Amino acid sequence: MPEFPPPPLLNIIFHVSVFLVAFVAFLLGLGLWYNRSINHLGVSHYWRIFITGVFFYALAEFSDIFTPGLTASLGVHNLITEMTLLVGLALIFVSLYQFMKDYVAQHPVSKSGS
Amino acid sequence: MESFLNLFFYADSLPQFLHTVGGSWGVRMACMCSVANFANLVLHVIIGGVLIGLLFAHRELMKDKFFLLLLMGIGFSAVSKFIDWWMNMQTATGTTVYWSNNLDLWVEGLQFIGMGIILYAIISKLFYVHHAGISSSSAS
Repeated sequence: MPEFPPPPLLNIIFHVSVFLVAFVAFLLGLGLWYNRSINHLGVSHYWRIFITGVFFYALAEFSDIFTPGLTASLGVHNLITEMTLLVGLALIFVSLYQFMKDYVAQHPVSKSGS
Repeated sequence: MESFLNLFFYADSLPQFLHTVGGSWGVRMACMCSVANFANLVLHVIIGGVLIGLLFAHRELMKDKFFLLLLMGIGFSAVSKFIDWWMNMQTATGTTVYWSNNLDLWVEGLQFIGMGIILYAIISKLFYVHHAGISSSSAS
């Protein structure tokens, strides 16, 4: 394999930051899920879809940390990263869409705004 | 092992027929990630469009910070994905590997802000919804 120049530190910091945001969100969501399951309350299906999506998103961002080191958005590494991100985003957006639909159904608003 | 790693990091190691198929469309198969990237961008446009449609249909929802935060987050994330897709397309349709550390910083910075806002909005709202469920169930 050819040698790569070391990636700039700032790029690595930015990539790690995005990963940490997704990972912390995953842990928070998982924490709530666990907390409710031990209290026999369960969580809504949005939450399950959302947590699964954030898991895939965090996984993709972890893989993406290595992209600046390769100095290229090239190859199967990046393809797998982007596909994982696609799955994660799709699940997050599906849960978001379901949530928006239910939110509007549960909070009916009058057309006059009164 | 080295040939496996080459395949993993360099799609140039893919079978020749795949390159021929891509080449007939003017695309280097070494950067198939631009396809997934494009799909990511389309996802942002769809969910952003749905959200804008919802806000237009129910203007009262604009008073709810949650929906505006979501829209802002999706906007930032979409711009980030656009730049990312553009970078990948430079490699996919060009003759050399394109890479820019500055653009990569922009991509990650915008993604950080966008996803930070989206995740904060969803988590805070769903926490509220679930805790409201706990309060109502314990009250009943």
